[in-house]
Amino acid sequence: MLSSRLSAAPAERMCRHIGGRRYSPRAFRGSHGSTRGYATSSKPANASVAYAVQTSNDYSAPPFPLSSSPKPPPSIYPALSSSLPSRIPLTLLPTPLPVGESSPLNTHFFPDSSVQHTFSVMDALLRDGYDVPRAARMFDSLRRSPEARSTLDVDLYNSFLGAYLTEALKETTRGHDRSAWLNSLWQLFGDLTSRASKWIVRPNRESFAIALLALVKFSDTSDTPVINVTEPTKEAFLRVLLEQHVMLSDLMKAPLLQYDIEACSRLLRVAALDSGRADIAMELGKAVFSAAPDQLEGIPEVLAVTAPKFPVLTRILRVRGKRIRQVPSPSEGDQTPFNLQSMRDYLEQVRLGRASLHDDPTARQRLMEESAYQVAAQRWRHEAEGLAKLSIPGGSMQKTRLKNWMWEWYQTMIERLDNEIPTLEEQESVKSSVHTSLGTYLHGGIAPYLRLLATDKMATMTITELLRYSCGMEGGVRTTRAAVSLGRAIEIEHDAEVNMASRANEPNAVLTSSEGGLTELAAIRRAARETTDLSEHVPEWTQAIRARVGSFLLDALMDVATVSRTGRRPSTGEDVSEEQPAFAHTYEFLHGRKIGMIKLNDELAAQLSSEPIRDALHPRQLPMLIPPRPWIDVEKGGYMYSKSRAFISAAPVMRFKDSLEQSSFLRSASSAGHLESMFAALDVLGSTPWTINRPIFDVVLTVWNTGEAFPKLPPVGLDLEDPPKPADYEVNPTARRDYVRVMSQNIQKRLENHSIRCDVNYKMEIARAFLGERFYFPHNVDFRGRAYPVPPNLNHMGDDLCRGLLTFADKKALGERGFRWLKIHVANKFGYDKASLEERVNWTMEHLDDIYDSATKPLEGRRWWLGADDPWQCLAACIELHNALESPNPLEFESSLPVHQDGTCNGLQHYAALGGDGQGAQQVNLDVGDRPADVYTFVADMVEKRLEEAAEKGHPLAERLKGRIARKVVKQTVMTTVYGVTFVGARDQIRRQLDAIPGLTQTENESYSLAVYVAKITLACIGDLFGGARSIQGWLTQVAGLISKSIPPERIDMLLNVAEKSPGSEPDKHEGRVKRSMSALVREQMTSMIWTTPLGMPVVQPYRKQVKKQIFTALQTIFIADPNLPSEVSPRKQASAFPPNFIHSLDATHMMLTALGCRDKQLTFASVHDSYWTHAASIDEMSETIRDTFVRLHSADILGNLLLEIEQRYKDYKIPVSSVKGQKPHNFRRSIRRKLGHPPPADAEPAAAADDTSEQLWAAATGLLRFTHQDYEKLSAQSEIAVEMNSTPKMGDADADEHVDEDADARADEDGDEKPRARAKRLKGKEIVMTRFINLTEILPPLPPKGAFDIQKIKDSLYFFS
Amino acid sequence: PAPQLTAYPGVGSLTRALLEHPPSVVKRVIAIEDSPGLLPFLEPLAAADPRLHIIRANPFRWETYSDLMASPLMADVARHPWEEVHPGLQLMCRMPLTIGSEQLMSQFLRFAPNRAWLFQYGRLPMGFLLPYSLWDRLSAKPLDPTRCKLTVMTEATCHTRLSLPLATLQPYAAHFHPSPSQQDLRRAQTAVHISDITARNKGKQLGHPYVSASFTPRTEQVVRRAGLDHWDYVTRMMFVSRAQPVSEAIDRLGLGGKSLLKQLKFDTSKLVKELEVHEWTQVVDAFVDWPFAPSVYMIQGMLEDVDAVRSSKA
Repeated sequence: MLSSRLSAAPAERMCRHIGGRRYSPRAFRGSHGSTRGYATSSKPANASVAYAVQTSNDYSAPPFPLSSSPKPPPSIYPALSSSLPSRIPLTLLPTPLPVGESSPLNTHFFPDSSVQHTFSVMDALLRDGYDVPRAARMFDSLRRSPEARSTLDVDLYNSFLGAYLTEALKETTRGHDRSAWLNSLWQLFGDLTSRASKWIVRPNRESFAIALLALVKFSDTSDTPVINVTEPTKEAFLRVLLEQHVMLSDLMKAPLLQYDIEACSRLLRVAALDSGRADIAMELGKAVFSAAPDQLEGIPEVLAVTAPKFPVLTRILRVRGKRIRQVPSPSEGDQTPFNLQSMRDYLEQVRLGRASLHDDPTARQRLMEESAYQVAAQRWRHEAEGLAKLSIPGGSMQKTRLKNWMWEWYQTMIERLDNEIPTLEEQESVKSSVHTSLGTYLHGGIAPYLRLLATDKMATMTITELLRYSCGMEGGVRTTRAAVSLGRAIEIEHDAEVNMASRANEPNAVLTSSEGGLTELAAIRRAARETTDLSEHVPEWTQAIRARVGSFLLDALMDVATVSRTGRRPSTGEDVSEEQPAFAHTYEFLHGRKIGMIKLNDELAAQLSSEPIRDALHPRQLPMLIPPRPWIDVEKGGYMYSKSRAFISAAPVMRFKDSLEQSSFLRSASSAGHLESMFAALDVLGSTPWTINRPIFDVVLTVWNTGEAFPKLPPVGLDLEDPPKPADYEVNPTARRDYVRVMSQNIQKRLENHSIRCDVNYKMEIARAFLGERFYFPHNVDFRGRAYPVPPNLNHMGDDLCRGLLTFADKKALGERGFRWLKIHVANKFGYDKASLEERVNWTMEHLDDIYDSATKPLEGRRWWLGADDPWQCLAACIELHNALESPNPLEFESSLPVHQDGTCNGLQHYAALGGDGQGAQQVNLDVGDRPADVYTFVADMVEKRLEEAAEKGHPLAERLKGRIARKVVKQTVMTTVYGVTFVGARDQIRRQLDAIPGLTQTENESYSLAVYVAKITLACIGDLFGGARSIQGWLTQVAGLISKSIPPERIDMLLNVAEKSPGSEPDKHEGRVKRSMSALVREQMTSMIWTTPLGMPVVQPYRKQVKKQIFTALQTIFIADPNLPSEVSPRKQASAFPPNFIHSLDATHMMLTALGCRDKQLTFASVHDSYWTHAASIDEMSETIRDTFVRLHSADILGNLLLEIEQRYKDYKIPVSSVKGQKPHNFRRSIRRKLGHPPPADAEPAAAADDTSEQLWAAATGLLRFTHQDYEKLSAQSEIAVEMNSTPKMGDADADEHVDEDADARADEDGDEKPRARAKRLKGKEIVMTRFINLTEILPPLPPKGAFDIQKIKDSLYFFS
Repeated sequence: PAPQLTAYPGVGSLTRALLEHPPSVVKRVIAIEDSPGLLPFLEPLAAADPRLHIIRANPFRWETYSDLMASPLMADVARHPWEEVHPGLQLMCRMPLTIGSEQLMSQFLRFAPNRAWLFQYGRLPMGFLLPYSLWDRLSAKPLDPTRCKLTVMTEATCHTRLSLPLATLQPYAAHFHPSPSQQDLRRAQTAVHISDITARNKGKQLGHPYVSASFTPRTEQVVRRAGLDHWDYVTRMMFVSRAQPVSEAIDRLGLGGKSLLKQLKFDTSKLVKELEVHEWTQVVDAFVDWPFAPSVYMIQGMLEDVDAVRSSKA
C-alpha cells in the first residue's frame, strides 16, 4: 500500500490524546508541543516540507554506531492490559480533496490510481530485471514531480539501487555498459545520503548494504574493478555510514551481504584503519564472528521443490528469463518428496506434511501455504494419466472426466500463454506511453504483469479460480467479478512468491502462543517486532490492472478449453459427438442492464455438480497448524506469507471496504502504536487452539454419506417432483405460466441445494483434513473493529454445524462449577434459556434420559437432539455431559467443549448503559434480577397492554389484534432497533409475523393496515422503554449528518479566494459569503464520520458515492469503482449508519477487553461478537471479566469523549448555511409541534421521517439540534444571503442504490452507465447560490441527558451474559 | 350479422359507433371492461341498446376469454374453417398506454399457430388502436432499429396493415380518452404523417399518436404447434446480438451453437435484425434438431415471459 511508503512518524505527530474529563485545550497540542500538523496549514506545499522533516527511519537512534547494547528508544507501544487507556489517542489525517484536486499531502495519504499504477508498473518492470531502463525513466520523472515526490519511500529507492547493481553484476555482453549502471547507482546513493538533500527520503540499512556490496564487487581494489565510475572512496563511504548513524554490526547482518560477508567486513575494516578508527575495525571483527547461522537450515529440502529456489539476493540477483516450471515433467517426478501416486486430493497436504514433517507444524504450515497451486496441476496430470492407463469406458471414466479436461486445458493454455505473452509485449512496446496528471509515464500495457508468475502457475490459477467462482452459481459467473477476482488472485500469488523467496532464509517467524498471560504475550509481540523483517514491499495493483490481467487470462482459457459431448439427434436418432467450448462469454439482460457473463457448458456444469472441486480451497483460507504470527502492523501478522493488502481478499488486519481513507488512518494509527491493544486482542483470539470434535464429525459424516436431509445438511437430491406438462400448455397461458413457474422454482431450489452442499462439502473436507490436528484461526477486524476468523469455510463463527464440529484442543477438569455450567449449556443449546440458572440445571437433569439416548445413539435412537434450537451444538453438549457423568468422577472429567455466555440483546445493553435507562437496563439484564428478563416478552406485553386500552375505547384494529401479539411478533423489531430500523422496515418485519398468524388477516389491505398499527405501537413502546437509547441514537444521527456536510477550513479559504476574484462581492475572512453553485458545494462534501474506539482504533465510515470507471479488457468493457478515488460522501448513509456502527465499535471494544482480561487469567477464549466462549470450568472467571470490562468501558464518559473528539477533529470545519437548511422543514415542524404540545419528529432516516407515524417514536429526542428554526430565520433573513431553496441536490436519492457489502468482491460492480436521472440532477445543481458558513462545532446539538442507572450493578447481575 | 367484441372499450366511442350500425350488420356488441371509472359511461349505453352486453372483467386476464367463450353470449358463434376469414366474429381493441399492451399483443398473436383462444372459431379478423410506438415494434421491417422478437412473431402469424391514415386520428386529444394534461401536450407533438413522428414523441406519453391497424391471421402458420417455446427462445437469445451476423450470434443459443450453421441454407453473414421469417424458420428447425439444445436456460428465459401474464390473484 502506498501510504505506508512514508513512515508513520507524522501520524504520530498528528495523534493526540484526549481523556475523560481531564480535557484541557493544551492537552490537544500533544506532548511534543508541536504546531498543528496539516490542519492549520493553508498552503499545502509547506505541509509537504514540514512533513518531510518529520519522516524518520530506522537509523536515527544512537550516536555511536557500534555500541553493543544500544539503548532501545522509548517504546511507543503501551503496556498490555485489559484496562482502557487513560487517554484515547486520536489519529488525525486530512480530509480527502474533492475529485480532480490534488496536493502533495493528499497524494501522500490518498494516492490515486495513476500513482498506484506507476508504482506497480515499476515494480513489475524491475522484477527479474525485466526492463530496468524503462522503470528508471519512470522513476526519474516521479522524482522530478513535486507532487509525486511525496509518495516515494526508501524501499523504492532501494529497489532501484538493487536493480542497478543487478544490471552491473550481469555478464558483460556487447552493449552492456557496466559503468553506466554503477554511475546511476552512486548518483542515486549520493542523492539519498546527501545531507543537504532536497529529497524527502532517507536511506536505511538495505540502501547501505547495496552500496557496500557495489563497492566490494567493483571498486578499484576488487577482483573486477570497473573504470569510469564516480564512486566514493572507502573512507568517504565509512564517513557517510558514521554520519548517518548506521550501526555497523547491524549492517553486517543484512541478508544481502551474507555471501560476501568476509569481503564486506574486510573492506570496512581497512577503511576504518585508514581513517584511524581502530575501535571500529575491532568491533567489526567481532560482529562478523557472531553472525549467527541460519536457524531454518532444516527445511530447505522441502522448500526446494515446492517453491523455486531463489538465490539469497532475491530480487537483486534473479535474472531475466523463464521461471522454473513448477510441475515437473514425468522424468523429473522423482525429485518431489511427495508420493504423487497416492495424492488424492489437495488437502492431502495436511496429511502429507504430517508424514514427512511429522513434528514440525511450522514447516507443514509453510508447505501448505507455498504449494497451493502446484499440487492441483500435479493431481490433474496424475488422474489424467491414470485415466489413460485405465481406458475403460463407463463409470470410473466418468468420474475422472473433469480432471482429464482440466489437464488438457492446462497444457494447451500454457502453450497459448507462452506464445501470446511475447506477442502482447511486442504490441504494447509499439504503443506510446501516456502522460498522467503527475507528469509521470503511465504505460497502458499489462505484459510486465504477465511475466511475474510462471505461465503454468497462471494457467492452473485461471482454471481453478474460474471453476471456483462458478461453483453453485447459475451456470455462469459475471465477467467483471471473475476478471477482477482472478487478477487479484494473481497479484496475491505474486506477492506471496516474492515474500516466500525473500524469507526463505529467514529464521522462524515469531508466533503467538496460547500459553501465558499478558506479560508473556507482550514479550512475544516485542520479539516479533524486533525480528528482522525481510518481507518485501510489493506495490498494490490498480483495479484496472487486475481486471485486464484477469480478462487476458480468462480469454486465453476460454479460447482453448473445450469439452466433448455426445448427444442424440432428435430427427434421425443418431448419436452425434461435438467438441464444444467449455466456457462462453455472453451478455445477458438483467433488470434492463446488459451484463457480461461467462457461461459454463451444460456438460461441464453437470460434471461439476457430481464432483466438487477441492482445488478451489486455498490454504491461505484454511485454519493454521501453528498459532498465527502476532499482528504487529496492518499487513504483518496472521498467516506465514500473508503479507497481504488492504483491497485484496487475503488477510490484512482489517477487512476494508472501498476505503482508502480507512486504510490510511489505520496505518497511521498502527505506526503510532495506537493499535497495540487491538492487535494483542486479535493475537489472543488467534492463539486459541481448536480441534475437530470427533464424535460429531463421525455423525455428520454418516449422515452426509447417506445423503439424508438433516439440519444444516442438505440432502443429496432434493425430493422435488417436476410437475407434468399440462395438456393445455400451448393454449392456456395460465397453465403455461404456472408450469413454467414451478419448473423454474425447482431449478432454483436444486441450484441452491447444490450450492449449500458444495459449501458443506468444503467444511467436511476441511474438518476431515484437520482431524486430530491442533489448529488456529487467525483473526482480523472489520472497519468497526469487530473481530472475525479469517478462514471463511470452517470456523467457530459459522453455523450450528461448524460450531458443533469444533471444540477446544485443550481440556480442563470440570470441577463443581464447571459441571454445573455444562448442564446449563445443554439447556441453553436446546433452547431452554429463558429460565433461571437453577431451573436450567434441573431441566437438564430431568432430561437425562433423552440426553443419554442422544449421546449414545444419535442416529439410531429417538433423535431428541434434533428438536434443539442448535441441534449439532446440543448433540456435542449431550455427548460431553454423558461422558462426564459416565466417567469415574464427573468433577475431574477433562472437558474441551466451549461453553457460551451470550449477551441479552447486546446492542441494547450498550445503549442502556450509555443512556442510564433504569427500566431498559432491567429488561436487558444490566440490573440484578432473580430471573433473566426477556426484553422481547416485555415489549410484547407493553404492546398488548396498549392494545387493550385502545380496544376498550373501541378501536377496531386493536380489538382484532388483542391477545395475539406474541413475543416473536416484536422480536425482530426490538432486536434491529439498535441498528436503526426504519418505520418501513419495522412494518415489514411485523407484517411477516402477523401474516403467519392463522386467521388474522384475509386481504393485503388488512394485513398492511394491521402491520402499520402494530409497528407504530411497538416502536413507541421501545421508545418509552429505552428513552435514553432513543435520544442517543437521534443525537448520533444528527451529529454524523452535520459532519458529513461539513467542509474543512482550507477548502473554505479556497472557496473564498475564488469568490474574491469575482467582482462585486465583499469577502470577509471566515464568515464570508460566497457565491458558488450548489454542485460546487456538494463537491466539497468530502468529510466522513470518523471516531476512535476506546481502544484507540480510528473508525472511518466508508460511505461515499461510487465513481465507476470504464476499463477496456480482452473480454469486454467493464465498469468498476476505483477505490482510490474518494468522492463525495453520502450524508444520508453516513448519518443513518453511524449509530449502529458506533455501537458495534463499542461491543467490539468490550469483546477485546474481555479477550485480554481472559488471557491475563490464562483462560481459553473465543468469541462470536457478543457470545463469549471458554471452558466450562472457567465460566465463573470469564463472567467476572465480562462484567468488569463492561463496567470499566462504560464508566468512562464515552459520549463526552466522543463529543470532545469531534470538537477537536472537526475544529474549524464549516457548514454552508444553505445545506443546513435541508434540516429546516423538520426543525420548523418540530418547533410548531412543540408549541402545539406534540413530540418532535425524527430526521434520522428520511424514509421514516417522511412517514408521519414515526414522529411519535422520538418523544425523547427533544432539543437535539441547537441550530433552531429561529437561528435559521435569523441567518437567512439578512438581505445579502440569497438561498435558492429548491436547488439543493438531494444527495440521498443519488445513492439509493448504493449497496453496503461486507464482501470485498462485491466492489467490482456490474456494467452499467451513469443513470440519466443522476446526470439531470447534477445539472440542476448548477444554479448559483450565495451562502454563509457556520462553524460545525457551534451547531452541534448538546448531549442528551443521562439517566440514573448505576453501572456498577452489572457486576452482580447473574443474567447480564448467560 | 356478426357479434362484435370490444376489449378496453373505455368511454365507449368505438362501441357507440358500432351500435350505430343496424342490427342486420351488428348483431351484438360485447364490451369487456372492469374499470369502475369507465363503467358509468358504458352502462347508459347498454340501457339504451339491448345489443350491448358489458362483461365486467379484465381483458388482460385469460380467464375472461374462456369464461366468455363458455357463456351463452357466444353460443351462436359458428366455427369456420381456417382457410376462410371468419365472417361473423370480430375483435376490436384499444390497447392502453401501458407496458402490458405489448405483452397482451404478443399473447394474442401466439394463439394463432395453435388456433387457440378466440381463434377456435376460425381466422378472426382483429382491429387494434395501438400506441404508435407499439405499432412501430410490431411492424418493423428488416434492418429497422425497432425490429425485435415481437416483430418476427407478428410476421410469422398475421397479415397487418394500417387501416386508417395516420392523420385521421390526429391530434390525439381530439379523439381519445383520457385527455392529456397541458404538460403532456407540451411534450407530445402532433404528428400527421409518419415522417412527423420523431423520437421525441414516439415514447409512451399520453398524447402521443395512436394508430388504427388491422390484423388477420395467416392461413399458413410457419410456427408449428408446440414450437412456440423454441421460437421464443431462439428469437429472444439471438436478438440480444441483433446487430451481429447470424454466424456469430448463433452462439447465443448455447455453447457450441456454431455447429448449427451448417444446417442453415441462407447467407449467415446476414445480421440478426435483417432476417425474415422464412430464415428464422430454418434457425428454429436447426435448433429443435440439435442434440445439445439447452433445456434449463429455456425454462429460465420463459419465466420472464410468463411472469408478465397477470396472476389471477392480483
